[in-house]
Amino acid sequence: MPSIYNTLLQLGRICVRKTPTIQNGKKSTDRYAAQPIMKRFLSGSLLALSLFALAPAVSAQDSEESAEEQTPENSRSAEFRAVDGSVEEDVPGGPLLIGAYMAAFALMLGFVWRLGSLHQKNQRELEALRREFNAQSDA
Amino acid sequence: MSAGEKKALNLAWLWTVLFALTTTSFLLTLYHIFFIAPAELQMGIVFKIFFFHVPSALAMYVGFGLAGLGSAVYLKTKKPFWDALAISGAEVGTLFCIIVLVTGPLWGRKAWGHYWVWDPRLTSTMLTAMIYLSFLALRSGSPGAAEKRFAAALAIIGLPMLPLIHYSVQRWAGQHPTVLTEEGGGISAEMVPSLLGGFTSFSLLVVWLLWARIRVERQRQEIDSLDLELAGS
Repeated sequence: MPSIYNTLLQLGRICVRKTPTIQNGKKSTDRYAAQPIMKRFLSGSLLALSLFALAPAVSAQDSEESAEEQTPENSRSAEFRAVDGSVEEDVPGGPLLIGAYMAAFALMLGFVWRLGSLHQKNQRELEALRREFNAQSDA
Repeated sequence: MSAGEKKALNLAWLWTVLFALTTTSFLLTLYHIFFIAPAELQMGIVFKIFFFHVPSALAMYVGFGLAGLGSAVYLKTKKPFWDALAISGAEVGTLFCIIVLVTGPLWGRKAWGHYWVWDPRLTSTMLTAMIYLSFLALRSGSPGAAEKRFAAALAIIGLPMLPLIHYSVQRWAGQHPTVLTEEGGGISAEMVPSLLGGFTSFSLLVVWLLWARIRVERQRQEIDSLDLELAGS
């Protein structure tokens, strides 16, 4: 327990530490005063959530172990066999299947679109910076 | 960015060929999944989620694995390329992890009657997604050196989760199917081409996405260094 406590304490210290940056040749911590703390807070919250997610898993594990004593070991699927002819569905499978494929494609295309817009934004910024850089070196 | 690296990242023809191969592979796989592959005895047509769900998991392993590798080498060498690889791997891995976490519950609704169960594999996958989402949250905006180091450490912490996800179905009790493992019974021969198509398509896609994301990140790094140079002059 003390080692877990110390680890969390260390993580907390890293999260609240300010990072000095160099702006216009001077050391400054202003830029990091608000935004990174929010980011660190968000990141810390996500980590805390992950730890909470473990709790039900551990309890589920216990109950599954006790259930396993009563039920046959291989109650889960271990093989998939093709069906001959038409299929009768108790839970309508169409919407689930279409939903899964649509979600997968929406996520993939969304990511590609985001990459494209980031690339264009970077190109514009790079061109502007190069122009500025050339103008400064000419002057 | 070195001239050689710039040249490699800008190989337009290879980029186009890879894109064409990925698209063709996806179209052929989708045709096979929806028009040729049979339904499954217990799961019916919902079984066909399997052909995207499992290859997405493979792509997730590749993304997160590269994020961990890139982070470890970046911490050692401080070379920006490895940082770009780390952030690209984490983003691409998270994308496929979300696909796994979305398609899995839709399968589960039919298989178990619930969208979500606290099965070891499902829980460890969600935990891994949260670790890499934390990484991405830390790396959003304009991170400083400390944020980069902390995020790199997080990506390395997330690495042991990958074998844990993989072996959780073998080591612990749970409801997740164990079809493609040593103990599993496998799938019918008619289903194999769809699964192989899925693996091919997602492998090509993960390479293409990683390439594109690394390219964008290297541009970002160039902008930052030019910005700093301009501010200093």
